[in-house]
Amino acid sequence: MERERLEELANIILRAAKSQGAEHAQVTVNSIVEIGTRFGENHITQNVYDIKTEFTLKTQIGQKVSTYSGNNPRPESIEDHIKDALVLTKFSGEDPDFPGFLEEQPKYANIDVPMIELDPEKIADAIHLTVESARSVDSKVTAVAGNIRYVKGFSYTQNSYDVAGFSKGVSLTSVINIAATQNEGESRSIARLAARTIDGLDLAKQSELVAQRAVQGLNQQEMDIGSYAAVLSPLAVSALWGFVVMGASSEGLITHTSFLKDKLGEQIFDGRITVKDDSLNPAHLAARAFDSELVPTMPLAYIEEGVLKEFAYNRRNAKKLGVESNGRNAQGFQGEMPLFISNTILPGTKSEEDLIASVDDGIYITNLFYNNFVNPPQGICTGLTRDGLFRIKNGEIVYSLKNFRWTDSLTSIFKNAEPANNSVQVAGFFGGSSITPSMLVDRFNLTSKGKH
Amino acid sequence: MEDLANKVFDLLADRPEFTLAQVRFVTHHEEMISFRNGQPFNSGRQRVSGVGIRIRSNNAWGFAATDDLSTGGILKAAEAAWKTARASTRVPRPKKVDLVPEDVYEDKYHVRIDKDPLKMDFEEKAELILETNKRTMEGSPYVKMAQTFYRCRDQLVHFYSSDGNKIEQRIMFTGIFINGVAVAPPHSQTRILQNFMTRGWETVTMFEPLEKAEQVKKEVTELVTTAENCPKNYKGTLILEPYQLGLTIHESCGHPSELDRVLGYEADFAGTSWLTPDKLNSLKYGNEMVNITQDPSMPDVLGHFKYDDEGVKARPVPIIKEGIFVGYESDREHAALLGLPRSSGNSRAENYNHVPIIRMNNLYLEAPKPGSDGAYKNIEEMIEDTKDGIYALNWKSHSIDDKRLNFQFNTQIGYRIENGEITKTLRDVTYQAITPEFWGAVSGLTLKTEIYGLPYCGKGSPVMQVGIVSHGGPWGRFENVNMGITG
Repeated sequence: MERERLEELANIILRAAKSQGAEHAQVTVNSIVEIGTRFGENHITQNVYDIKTEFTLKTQIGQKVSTYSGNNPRPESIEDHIKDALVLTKFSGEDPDFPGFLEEQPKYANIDVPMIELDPEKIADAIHLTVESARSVDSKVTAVAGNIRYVKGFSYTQNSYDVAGFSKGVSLTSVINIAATQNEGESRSIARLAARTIDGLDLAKQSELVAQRAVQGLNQQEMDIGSYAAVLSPLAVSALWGFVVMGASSEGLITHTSFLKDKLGEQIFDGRITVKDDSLNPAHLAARAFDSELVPTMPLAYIEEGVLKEFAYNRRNAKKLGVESNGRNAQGFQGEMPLFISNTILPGTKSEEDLIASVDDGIYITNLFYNNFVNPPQGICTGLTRDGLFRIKNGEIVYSLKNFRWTDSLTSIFKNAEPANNSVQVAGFFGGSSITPSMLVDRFNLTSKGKH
Repeated sequence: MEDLANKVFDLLADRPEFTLAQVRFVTHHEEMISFRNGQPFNSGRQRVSGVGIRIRSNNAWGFAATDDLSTGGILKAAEAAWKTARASTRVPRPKKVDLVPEDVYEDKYHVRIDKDPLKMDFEEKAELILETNKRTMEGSPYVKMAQTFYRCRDQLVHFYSSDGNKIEQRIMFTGIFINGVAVAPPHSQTRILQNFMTRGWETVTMFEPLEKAEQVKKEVTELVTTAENCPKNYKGTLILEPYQLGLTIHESCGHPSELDRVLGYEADFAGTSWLTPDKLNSLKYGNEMVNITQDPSMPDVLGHFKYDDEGVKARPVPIIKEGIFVGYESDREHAALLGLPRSSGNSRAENYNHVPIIRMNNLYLEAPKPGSDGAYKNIEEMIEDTKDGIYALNWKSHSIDDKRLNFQFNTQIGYRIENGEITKTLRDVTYQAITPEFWGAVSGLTLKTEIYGLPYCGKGSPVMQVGIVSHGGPWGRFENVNMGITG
């Protein structure tokens, strides 16, 4: 039903674009219902319900091309939208790198996602459960914060060569951030959860685990800066891996900003690291059978046993660099960029506990915060530990630590790295999620002390 | 639109425990013309409109948005907002909160626009952006990538509330971004110059983009050829220009003084704050030279508006006064939670379908009094009076902890100062500090000031909103700063 509505809108838009002078065009029409509920200090603070139909139209005249986005495309308003869109296209200069739209219909894989319905009351009840579960753990648990976001979306893309694709899905994400306090000292811990159903978030259990870690993190001690062996939790690995994904975009090859430029086929990381852009796995919130250019997005191991095997391409970059697109384009108003957004880091053989047990003198990092490139072409990044930093001595976590700033190169961090076998789905990875195990790295460079 | 808003108010008026409704119609029009290496790249336009309805009932908020602007669509959204407000009470705030009072306004305000970019000749805009892009590369064998774009966003907002506000406000912002990347192995460096203001096309022309393109080309070429690396683990005097100083203000003062994060309501995303309520009016945030004020009533700057998105009228609010922490950025609810008498006017929403949250606006460091200790006429005079140090310019990257105490920036270009003179150009000048130690070590400020616009501040969850802010002030000099951190 929704597919037919979006298809009809897309065809109205494409016809209008043609009638106003576009030689070719491609339109994506999205219909979205979204509920976002936020809580802090043990109560709901924000509750947002949003319903919209939005579209993105790319129009082409010769080698002139531009992108237009709008919302609520009704038959009576579409002509005005198209007029606005085509002004930009008509007066744009020729873009020799524009590859044109896809002319032949590919076959797409099917991604089966349950289309569950949720309402604000059910989400509020889930938050109540989350808060109460955390508070039941320990009297030192003082504040529960977080959010739950439910998105139900339908998306239809078609171009003027009648190549088309339809997708639909429900995604649920949740953040749980819990504070424990004792003697005026505070500790926080966190989980970032992703699922396709509310039960899949497993909020009661996850809330208890986060609360336990928050209590465990109390009474932080000092430690010297320096380079330490570190066990990174799945959350911390996911935070770092975002920078690897940016380096693996072909965009950085064109802009000369990727630390992986000229590294194709080289051993960039430990041989125990294999990473797949697992695009058809429905567990990934950004799973997609085709990208925003309608090119099939097939699963692809872009790092195999530590060797860089592939960059993420869209049609534009592929044309410029003389290769084929591998269907990784992502379109936004202020530009498009190819990215691997459904990352699965393959698990290792040991448990996280075994990895911790193998460390004589090191640290356990729950989360890394406000990470950023210091120097993208060198892959040097900085950031801070957060939500639970612990000292490991003689194979055991012995106490919690105050936070540190870290500064290090990604190739150095993952040069000697062993994944655990405890893969977890982590939300907040380029609008989707990553499936990531913990990882032991032999050195992690702490460069300055934090105050808490 | 007023009729439609009144229909929403009529619908809700007799509902149990209804206290307030705010209806915000937004028409949003945006344009970006962009070139990369002399070719069009990622140019786009956007036009969206819709209404956001925010309802307060029984001590809780609900919000719903729709792009269906028919009477039926809007009333359906009002019902959804009511439903979310009622759902919020299932996990209620334990303490009853009455919003702090604010006068009710009927007003119409548009920012100054001398030349409306969305109505002017397209080719005039494209030609200047393209020429700027070409100039950034022309003649340098080292500049391998140049990207230039102009961006304009025009938002017309009609705000009505059930307690009587009727405000029309048009906020347009326009700006230009000029980026050059130069490569000379093993070095790859970037140089960016940009500015955004709540003005029209004149923002672009006042920026003198062709001259700025030449500057980018010259400096980024220097960075990969004759410049030296920043000395490793150098501790000493650091001078920042107003753009980079503004970013430092943004991260180390602006965010920690947002009252929602102070009270734990941003813990799931951006973190909390070290500026806890017990420190208000007593904490020594910096030395007595430090006066940081927010003033969205200042015209033209990017953080400018006349009313925030709760209808609170813009006015100057001191945050740091002679080094003492004296003020928070608040909205009507959070001000009430802390017992403050009035909102500071920081409630803003990115678009019609975003709920208003506490956002920075125009936050800047004030210039010193002429003749006071550490006051310099301009940067030249400050450098002349600096024996040994580094002068760093413009953002390259940033990072700060979840309480906003430990920060580290990388800058695009730096200069070594020896005996009052610039002696060499430096690349990758990083600096790291702890917030009160940094602001406690100010040793000089210039009388000359500049304010820059940043249209990229992310905050809010589970949907992040992008805010527009402006910062700056004088050139500032700081002592005993850690620099040259490479890991």
